[in-house]
Amino acid sequence: MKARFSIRRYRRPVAYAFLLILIMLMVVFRVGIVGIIEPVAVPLVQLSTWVSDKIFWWKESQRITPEALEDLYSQRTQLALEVVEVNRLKEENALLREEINFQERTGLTTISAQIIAKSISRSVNRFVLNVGEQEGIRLGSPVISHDGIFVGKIMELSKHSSTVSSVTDPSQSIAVSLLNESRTIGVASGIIGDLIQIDFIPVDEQIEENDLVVTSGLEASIPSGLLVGLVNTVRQEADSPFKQAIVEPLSDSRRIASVLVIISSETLP
Amino acid sequence: MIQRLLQAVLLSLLIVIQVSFIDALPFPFDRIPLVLIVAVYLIQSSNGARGWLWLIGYGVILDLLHITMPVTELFSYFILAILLRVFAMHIITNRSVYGMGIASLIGLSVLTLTQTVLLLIFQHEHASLIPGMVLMNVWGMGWSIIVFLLLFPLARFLSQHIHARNERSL
Repeated sequence: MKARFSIRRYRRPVAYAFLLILIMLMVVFRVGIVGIIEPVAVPLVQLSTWVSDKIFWWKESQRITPEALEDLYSQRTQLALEVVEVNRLKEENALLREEINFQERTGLTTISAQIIAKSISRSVNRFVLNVGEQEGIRLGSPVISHDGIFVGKIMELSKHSSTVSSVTDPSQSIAVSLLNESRTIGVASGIIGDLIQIDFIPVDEQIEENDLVVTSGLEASIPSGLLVGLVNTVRQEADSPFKQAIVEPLSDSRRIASVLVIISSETLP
Repeated sequence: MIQRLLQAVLLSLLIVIQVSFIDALPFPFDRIPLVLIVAVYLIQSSNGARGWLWLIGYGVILDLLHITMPVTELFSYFILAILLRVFAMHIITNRSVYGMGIASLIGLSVLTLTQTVLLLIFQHEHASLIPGMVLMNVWGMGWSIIVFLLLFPLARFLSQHIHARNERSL
């Protein structure tokens, strides 16, 4: 006898297939997830940032030895000298800008964004923002802290959210320039241990510890001169024509709950 | 229906706590695999019937957020969910704290293995990250044992209390 077709028999597989298609569509279009979790996620990130700052301060203080403290004092002096140098460069830069007339540098605008999720570990250093394409964000847009320090750049984008790859993320690379005498340029990438590494620096370049590292402006959407970090160590292997600089970033993704995204005024909604 | 809806809300809340609060804490406190621990507890205590969908849901949300290894999280958590379900049904049938601890250790090992293989396949240029990733998951294993030892008696007490109350009301 021919078996009767029964819709109940197929209810479960159909439901699973529907769920799977729904999941795939959501993954592809990243529908509304950020909007849903935002009201809970933003206070949680702020709480976690507060906990990192106020409760775990001892983790930081344990690391500081008297020698390190002495180093910090000398770094401060060095930085003060650098500030003088930077001011001189600012004036020089203003004159050069007039000459070269870089339109894009004058059209920069920032928008404020809240962090709604973080993934910070030795292999990943990323966070999710509550602003996206609709707010004028574009792939590769630079993200800075409120005091103007380079934090990372946009690596994933959807309508109302975006994922930032932090400057120390190992999959991240940025074009940087050192504020040394020869203004060495290079590509910096994140390495394990919340540090940044600049490879393939010719041996004849003069690089010192505490040299400031800034964005070089060679990447299309990232303006030059955004502060990235300080040179911590300079390494050179025997017989190698290149040296490496290990850079300590000045931004700490763990300690920020909101950021600024630099966008071009043309992309504003 | 209401119970399922409540579970979905609870899962979402747990996931938000994981990605927005725990993952943002300083190392090694950011390694507490809260969602995994709760899912292992549910899978084990329900004989594999409940909890495994939580892990798949977690994989989906991680993929939606594009925060760790985009488009591979769902796959790794799907494998993990199925494996933990099979383990709960046929292999780790002892519903003690030790059984759950072992299940979570196996779970994290499977997750590490899957993620390593996926990293090698899709992002082999970042293969140098594998030792760091393994170390992170080893911390996760340590945390899961600690959390189980601390919370298992509490969870068992609550579950018994709720059952007793339901029976009395019937």
